[in-house]
Amino acid sequence: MNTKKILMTTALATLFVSTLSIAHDPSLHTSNKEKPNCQAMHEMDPSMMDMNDPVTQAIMKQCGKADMKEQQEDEKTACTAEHAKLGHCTLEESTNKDEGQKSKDSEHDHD
Amino acid sequence: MIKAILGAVAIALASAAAFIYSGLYPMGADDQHNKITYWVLETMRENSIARSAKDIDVPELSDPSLLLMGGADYNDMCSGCHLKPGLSENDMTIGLYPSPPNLASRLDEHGHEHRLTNEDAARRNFWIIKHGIKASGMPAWGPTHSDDRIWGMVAFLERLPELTSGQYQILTARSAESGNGHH
Repeated sequence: MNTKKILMTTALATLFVSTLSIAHDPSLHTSNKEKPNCQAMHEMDPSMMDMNDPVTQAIMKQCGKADMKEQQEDEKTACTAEHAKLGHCTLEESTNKDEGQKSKDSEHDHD
Repeated sequence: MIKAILGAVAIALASAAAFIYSGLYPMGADDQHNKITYWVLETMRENSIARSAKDIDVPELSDPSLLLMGGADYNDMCSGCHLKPGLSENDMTIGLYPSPPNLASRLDEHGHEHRLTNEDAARRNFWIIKHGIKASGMPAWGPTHSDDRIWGMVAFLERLPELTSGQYQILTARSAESGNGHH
């Protein structure tokens, strides 16, 4: 009986601690999504930017990622609007194409 | 002689107990400590943090990925009390006592001076974020956040006072992130 109680208490304590540790997972913050406003960065004169500064590098990285994401979304939208009507492609096909490209890229990374 | 000393100690203890139980000390956050209490608490806090943090190894903090990870976390977890570029106060900074320092301003503008080297400031910030500060409103983030994520916030804090509002917005936005170093 005592062993059962101890096991129960340990299990509950473990569950509580593991719940706490996932409570602050970064993915849980994504409800607070905000797009980086990179317009100002794009308008800046590159010669005025210190490319060795970690802040500049972080901004370039963040805006590079945001641009890539936007481009991918644009490609998907373009497929749906123009070609899907003509039956040339579907949104599903476009997604598969993206995934294919991703797997190609990852293969390339492993070479 | 010994009797007199014991008597004095007993009276002092009884007076202290009477004061504690009387409820005379004001506990409202809108009623500031007197100078002596404030000095005692601040001196105790600073010396305790310095002693506890002195052996912490500071990693390389100039990695851009660390800034991005720390920036997003700072915005979600800290900016409500410690502000961000373009803000000088909000309901929390006005209502909390002691008032949380404005970490988006330069050290000499945020109320008090620490005269610390960059390494010591990093150790101090890491320790405070990880362990929190008793009865100050500063929580301990250590139980729920890895050391890597806390160092990310420390790295971001180092650069925060120099950031413009635009740079802050870009560095703290989460939507472009694909993990930002979390695996």
